[in-house]
Amino acid sequence: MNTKLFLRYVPYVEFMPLAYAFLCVILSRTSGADDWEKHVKAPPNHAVLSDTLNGWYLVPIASKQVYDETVRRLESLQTEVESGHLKANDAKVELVELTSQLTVLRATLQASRVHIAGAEIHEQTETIEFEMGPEKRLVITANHVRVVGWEGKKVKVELKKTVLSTDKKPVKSVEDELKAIRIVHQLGRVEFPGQPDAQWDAQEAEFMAKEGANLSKEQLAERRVIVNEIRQSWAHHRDLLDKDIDHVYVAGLEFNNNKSITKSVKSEGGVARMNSIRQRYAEMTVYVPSCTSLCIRGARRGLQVENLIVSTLTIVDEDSTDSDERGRFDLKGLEGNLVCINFPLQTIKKVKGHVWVESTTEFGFQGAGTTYRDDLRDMTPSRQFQVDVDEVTQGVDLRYARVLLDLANIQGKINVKNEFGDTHLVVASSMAETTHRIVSLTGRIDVELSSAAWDSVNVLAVTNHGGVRTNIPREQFDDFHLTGPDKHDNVRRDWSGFHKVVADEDRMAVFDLLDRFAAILNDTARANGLDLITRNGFLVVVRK
Amino acid sequence: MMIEPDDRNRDPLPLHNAARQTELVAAIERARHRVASPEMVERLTASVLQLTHIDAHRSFSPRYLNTVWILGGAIAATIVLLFSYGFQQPKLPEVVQETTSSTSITKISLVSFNYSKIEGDLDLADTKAEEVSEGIELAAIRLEIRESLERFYYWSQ
Repeated sequence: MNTKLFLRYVPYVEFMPLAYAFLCVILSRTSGADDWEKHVKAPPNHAVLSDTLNGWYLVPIASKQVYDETVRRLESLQTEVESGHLKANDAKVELVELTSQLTVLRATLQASRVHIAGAEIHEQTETIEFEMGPEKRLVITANHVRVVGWEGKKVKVELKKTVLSTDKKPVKSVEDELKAIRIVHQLGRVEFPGQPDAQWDAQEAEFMAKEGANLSKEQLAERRVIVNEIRQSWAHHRDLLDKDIDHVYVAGLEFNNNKSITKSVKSEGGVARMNSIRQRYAEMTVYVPSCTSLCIRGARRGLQVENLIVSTLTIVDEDSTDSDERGRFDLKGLEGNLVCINFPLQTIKKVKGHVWVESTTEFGFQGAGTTYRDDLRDMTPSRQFQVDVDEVTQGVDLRYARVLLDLANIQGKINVKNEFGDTHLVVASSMAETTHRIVSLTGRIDVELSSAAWDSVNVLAVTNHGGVRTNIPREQFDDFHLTGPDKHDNVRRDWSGFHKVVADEDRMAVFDLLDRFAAILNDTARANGLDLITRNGFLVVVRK
Repeated sequence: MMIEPDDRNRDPLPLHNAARQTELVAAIERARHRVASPEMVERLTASVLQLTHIDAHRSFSPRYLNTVWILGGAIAATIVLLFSYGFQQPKLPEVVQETTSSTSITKISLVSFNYSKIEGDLDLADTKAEEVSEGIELAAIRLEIRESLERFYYWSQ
């Protein structure tokens, strides 16, 4: 039977695809409704204040709206102060008023909040101890880690295991889930990406002996760049690859072993919330004696490092099978150097050593989201992720894409690149005689110098398209406007800012700054000083 | 500012008034804490010390002093002042020009000159202090707002 004949004998068959599509829509809607049928009921007219591991805190929606509106007024005040359109006294009056209102509103919300559990929590704890191998190198891989330096000779590991259940599971099933989470300790070679330097060198020598001779100088140069990039990307594992090291990790939290569950809550006249979360969690606390190196991998649900004595502490965002936007990531007390790569470390405090950070991924989440209004979709970025660096004895090398960076009490060289975020530096005492710099593309830079700090260093504050503000008199911090070659990009640009006046300096010396800008941006050799460049942000230098 | 610049009829040696001196010193102390420029404070202090020194001599009254000593001291002070202020010609108040004694003219002009110099410096110091204060205050308030925002954005569990 051909198609036309079939259509003639089976009436309405041409509408079958349409009917099928309609059925699919109905089924999908029904399925969605099923999910919401399982929701936990919250009191009416309530909104979610914050999430917890197994539920939410909810508050009356009207109070929450007033609170949010007052916070937005505080944000507007910040914008006005930063633009300099508001006088300090007026700002202070408004700040006092707003913070008073917010304190009262916050207390009201705290008092009226109710916790709604969307899942049941089951917990268990496991502990092991072991002596470190002769290399005294330890690697910890876990989602949630607390590391504490201690005087004990062994390494002690405590694991707090948590399992969530959204339906009444038999006790045995929950116990099996808890048992599946366990601590694993291994002493031996660990297969991390990358390879030891000796192996890299041997491979390179072999290549040059065989195929290298056939390549031109340019081809060899290009190849060298690529090889170096690959080599550097795994350089932080260099000291761990060809040695017997101690590795502690958590088994049972892998993606395929840790299924997702859904928790949902609904308030009549208020809001509804549905979250997909993992079923298993584990918080690992490790007590570590003084050692050669410690590498913490993963830890995206939380990380606390306290009073550690180790030559090098490395923190990397690798092999984390879960993350928590509400997690805290703090380092407070380290005798040794810190290397941190693409990890949301919020606090770096009391480091007797050097700090090196390269974190160019986005960690902020607060305020981010997509909103729909008429035919518009607004994708809003998060607020800047805050990072505090305080009390570092041997200088900092920090590279961030966009964080709200606070620096204070830094001894040694300050080298900061915060591409799109704001940086705030406070210098209370004289600065080391070296080449300090803070560089940004669109971020704001605020520097507060004591008189001792000002006297100890030459200061240069410059921008291409932003603004610059200072309270230091012109005879000491003269302004300049230059148009000239940008030796960083090989184009012409305008440069405006302030530079510290040096006694008996040739007035034409200001033109030498054009060379200095490129040296600052490239971080190459230049005369000592504190150099501040934001290409399109606002720059403030205040002497206190 | 307690010292009025255009009050020509007042006591040409106002620093006899101890309260006035105290206030002047207080102004300098205030400037010392608020003004960014240490040079400004030093200049103010030097001017006041110089004026106080002259004032101390003035307290003996010209009638009881040796004219030659006064003249010599005044000439020396003038030379010092001229060097200090780069031979800048001071603008003398009218009251000085009406004085008959040449010795008094020199002394009073010195005092008046310093007086107006201090006055100018204090005005400048106050202006600078205002600017410095605004800069520091704005920076402090900005930080305070930021800390408040951080406090009010987040909720502990």
